[in-house]
Amino acid sequence: MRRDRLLHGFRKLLSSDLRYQLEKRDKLRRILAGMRKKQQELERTLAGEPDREVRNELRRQLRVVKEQRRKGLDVLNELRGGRKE
Amino acid sequence: MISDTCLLTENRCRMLRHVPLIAALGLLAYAFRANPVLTEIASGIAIFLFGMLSLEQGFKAFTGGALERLLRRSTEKLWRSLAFGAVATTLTQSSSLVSVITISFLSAGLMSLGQGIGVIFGANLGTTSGAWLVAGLGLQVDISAYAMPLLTFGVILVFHRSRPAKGLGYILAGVGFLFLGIHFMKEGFTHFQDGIDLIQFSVPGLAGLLLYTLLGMVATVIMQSSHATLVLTITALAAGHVDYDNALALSIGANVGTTVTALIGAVGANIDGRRLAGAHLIFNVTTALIALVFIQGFVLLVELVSGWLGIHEDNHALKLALFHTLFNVTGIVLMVPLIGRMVTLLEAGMKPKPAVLGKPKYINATMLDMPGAALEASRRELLRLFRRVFSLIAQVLNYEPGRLRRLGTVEYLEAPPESVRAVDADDLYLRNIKPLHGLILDFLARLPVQGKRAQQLVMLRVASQQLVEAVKDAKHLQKNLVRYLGSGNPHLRNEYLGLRRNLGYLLSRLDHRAADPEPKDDLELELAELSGRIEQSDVVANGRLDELIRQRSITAEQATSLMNDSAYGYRISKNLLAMARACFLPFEEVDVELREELELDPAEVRAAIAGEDTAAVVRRDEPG
Repeated sequence: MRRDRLLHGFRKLLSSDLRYQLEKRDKLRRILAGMRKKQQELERTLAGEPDREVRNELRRQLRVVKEQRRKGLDVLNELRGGRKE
Repeated sequence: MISDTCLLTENRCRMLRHVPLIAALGLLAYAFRANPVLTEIASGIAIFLFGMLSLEQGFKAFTGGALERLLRRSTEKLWRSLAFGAVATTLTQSSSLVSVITISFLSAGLMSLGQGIGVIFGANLGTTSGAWLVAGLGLQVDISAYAMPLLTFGVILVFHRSRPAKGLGYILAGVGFLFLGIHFMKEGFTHFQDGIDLIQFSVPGLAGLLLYTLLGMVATVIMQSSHATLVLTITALAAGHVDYDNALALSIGANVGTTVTALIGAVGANIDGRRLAGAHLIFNVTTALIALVFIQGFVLLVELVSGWLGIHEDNHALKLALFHTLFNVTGIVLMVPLIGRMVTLLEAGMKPKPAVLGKPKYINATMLDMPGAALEASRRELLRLFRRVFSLIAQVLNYEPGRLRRLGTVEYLEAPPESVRAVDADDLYLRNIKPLHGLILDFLARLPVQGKRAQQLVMLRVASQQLVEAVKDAKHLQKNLVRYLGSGNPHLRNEYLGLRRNLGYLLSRLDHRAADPEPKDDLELELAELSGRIEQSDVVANGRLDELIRQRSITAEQATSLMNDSAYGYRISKNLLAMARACFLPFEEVDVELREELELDPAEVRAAIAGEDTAAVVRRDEPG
């Protein structure tokens, strides 16, 4: 385990491409966390909103956020897959 | 006749301007003929100055990357700014290069005036390293032996194609020339001992102090380098041609003289450059005054510290370097706590000229050598252009730009205009947008960038064009918008009010986002949300136009107009969103790549809104 971590650290130090991919993955994770927070916020607002028109608007926003998250998760999975190869 | 006289006068003026230079060259030629030793010293100075130019040229090759990245990271805290200034000047041996980078960063808004002053203070300390190098190394060792190999390696590398290798070549050649210059000066002064005894011209007491301070100033202004004056003073001191007390005064004068060079440079610079030059002047003059008033105290301190450092009693060259360092350190210690006040004073005393519509605020020619700062300045300039485009489109939509800017309320966005009026969009475009757009494009075209920075440059150029496209579409939209906002047909009027409201909302959100230093949501998420709104409100895509035609609520001619205008509105929105994606965040390669991958295309947005499977919509959109 310790050896793996050391090897990983060494590879990270040597490979600028790997460093770049890791930076990209971390940034994407932060973006996705923000999106999840936004989604939860919209879901909470939607649950307490009585007005039909506003509810429709919130639903639309929610769908876009979900789609954006889905796409982001796809990119994240690709990045993870790329690293394993 | 009048024009001939003017031309003659102009030619005479031009010739007269060259008289001092010709006289100086003539005088030098005569002096060289009369005394060959003088030729040796003068050529030493010339080679030394050429070495500094070469060194500066070499470090410029790295200014696009390492130096700028370092400066960006080094200016978060005052001590870091000071350390950067000192270390960068020590390495490059050029405080003017460090000043130029600092001015570029200030102009691009990448650092505050306080941080910039910190760098300049540090650079002043860095210049003292030159004196140590010459006094400690240059005079003890035969450095000309190192000069020749350095020059050879340097020149070979200068012919290399790669930019970093070329830069390294200039640096090596620069160091070689510096060594060679010092060697010639040293030799010249040694030979001078056989001729005239300059020590007879030494002036004791206060008169000497003031006279030699003035001489140091003049020499620095002529050579445009305090470093050169110091090296000349140290070599002359080591050869015994200058009295130690007079040499101290010369070094004080060199410190003041260098500000004259900075002030001359600041004449053509922008307000940030002038303020920084002002800070430089205040620092150096104050430090020089302190050194002059407390000269005896400094001399005693030098003796004391020399004892601690083991500097020999007779080694006046090293003592001079120590004196130079000590009075600059004293200046820094005394002035650092006053940086805040200095900033207030400079900002109050040197106010920027009122913004001229056609003139840029962030970009200027001095930045062309600093691609990183120049691109960031261009991005900020584009945000300024966006604000003008915002104002123009808001007026076209019959909104008051000021009210829309304060994130117009739903009521304000939805309320029909009290009276519909058409603005002269062409005139506004020609006066407010086209000149700045042209200047940005011209600036970007002159930026020497490669690789990843070239990608950013293209993004910014495209964003500028997108803003102009949005303006042109708004101009086309205005024709029918003005006509149908006052239409008697309520269906048609409502559609145009909707178009106006949607664009107004988009403008308002984008403007708010551009001005928000700490936005709540990620930019891509906000843009996706706005994109969803645009897709949903498109009357052609959402079937509203068909519905109006089927119900015969509008005529065929009105339907065509609505379809065209809806397309204009769609294009304006898309162009503004694309511009926001390119300009709203500082450039980071990772971000750009991520944003490209995360961006939802219209089909995906439409599918998401409809709650459908994206792949199905993409299939439906495909021809055949």
